[in-house]
Amino acid sequence: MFTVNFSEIVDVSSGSRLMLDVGGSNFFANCNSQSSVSFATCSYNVGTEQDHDGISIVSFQLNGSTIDDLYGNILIDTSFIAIDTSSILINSSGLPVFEWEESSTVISSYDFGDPDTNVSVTFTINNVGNKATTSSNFLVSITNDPDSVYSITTDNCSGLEIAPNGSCTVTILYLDVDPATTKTGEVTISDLGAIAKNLTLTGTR
Amino acid sequence: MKTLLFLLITYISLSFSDTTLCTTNAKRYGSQLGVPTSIPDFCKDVLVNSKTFSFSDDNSVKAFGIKNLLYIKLFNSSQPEPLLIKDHFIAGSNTSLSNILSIQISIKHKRVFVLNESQEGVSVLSFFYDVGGNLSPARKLISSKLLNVTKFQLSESQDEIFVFNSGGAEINVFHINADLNGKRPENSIEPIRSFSLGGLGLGDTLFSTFNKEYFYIVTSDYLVIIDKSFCKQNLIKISHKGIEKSSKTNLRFTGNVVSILVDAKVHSSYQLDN
Repeated sequence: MFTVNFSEIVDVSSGSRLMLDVGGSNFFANCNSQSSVSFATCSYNVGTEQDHDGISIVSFQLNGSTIDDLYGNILIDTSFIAIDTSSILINSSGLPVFEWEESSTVISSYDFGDPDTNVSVTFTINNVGNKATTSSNFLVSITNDPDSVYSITTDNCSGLEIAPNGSCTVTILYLDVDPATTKTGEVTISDLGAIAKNLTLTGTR
Repeated sequence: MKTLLFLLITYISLSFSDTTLCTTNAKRYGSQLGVPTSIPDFCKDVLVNSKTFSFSDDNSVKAFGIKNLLYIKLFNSSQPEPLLIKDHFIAGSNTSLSNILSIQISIKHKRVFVLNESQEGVSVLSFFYDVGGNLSPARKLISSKLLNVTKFQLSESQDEIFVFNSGGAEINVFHINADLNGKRPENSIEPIRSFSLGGLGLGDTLFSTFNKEYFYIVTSDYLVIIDKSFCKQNLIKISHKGIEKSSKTNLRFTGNVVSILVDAKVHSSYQLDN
């Protein structure tokens, strides 16, 4: 349920809605028809979609409906100030949800730079879901590494039960090998039923 | 006697097929790091009996090579009895390994250096020794100056590679990070400096090596000692008779004395300056 506040008393007819970004797809929270109110209530029923890094509000849409004040002035400007919805996670209940962290910062990619030597970096994996990882299925692995330059040298995660709000670490080695190009790769966290979480890696020789 | 001969032939035949199987599998070695697939374990025994090998001074790294296959053993050298930490192969299409001629190890740079011969010529390839798999070389030195190379050695103190050409009559020095595909100044594949015995009338070059910051070149008539900067040369006329070109020549260092070995026997010895 979302509440849209207005600056004065209005009549809200049926049809207006909030467009939401849920896991990269758009969904709508439809607003109720209400008279002489300073706010509209809009609701969205969660389906099978998931969003583990927080939903966002894209826009408020009239969608052919009208909203007018007590003097009959029709709402034209639908711009709004949205609250922070990054903590609203969808369908995360009962699943481990992962995030990558390095130097106390949550990241989705990491660049080893152009070091002219091998570099090892230790990353933290946080379980921000509501369920512990499954020891037999929890796996951290290198994927999409066509130049074979990335490897996990220390894995304190795979095969362990990481409780909700728990963390573990993996150390990834970047090999500074020929040719002198930028090499990309990914390291993936996977677990039974959980959404795999990738960290994109780059390093330049 | 017949039985012995038969057994000998069988052993040679088995060894040959073992090596062939190892090098054949090495060509197909996996593309993922650290995945020891497709090279049988018995290849480790084949490799450790190879004549092409190198041990680091502290015995923490041992590298063995046959053809297109490198076998690395890493030890905890701080133990009284060095403890094997891990071992792995380096082989496969990414490595450019074709025919390993000689191996050197750099602890400072954590790399094993390989003098490699292929259809494209001779190159110096280096690999990070603490990771196995189908690795690309860390650095790849390819140069026309590597024609007729017989051996190479490293100077970790100066980060240099010494390449001995034409039986040791010419020495070219490259940066240890010389690399055909590099983009930094130190990656230049031009020699930093060169030295040639040609035209000095010192006789045929029979043996050359690098030891304790000096080059030693044995010719049929002289022992030539050159500092690594090529600034100072010391020509020592070999006492009594010269050395036949067909002889197998080597050098042995004992304290401040260097001995020329000819066919495994001491030919003559010389006191070295401090």
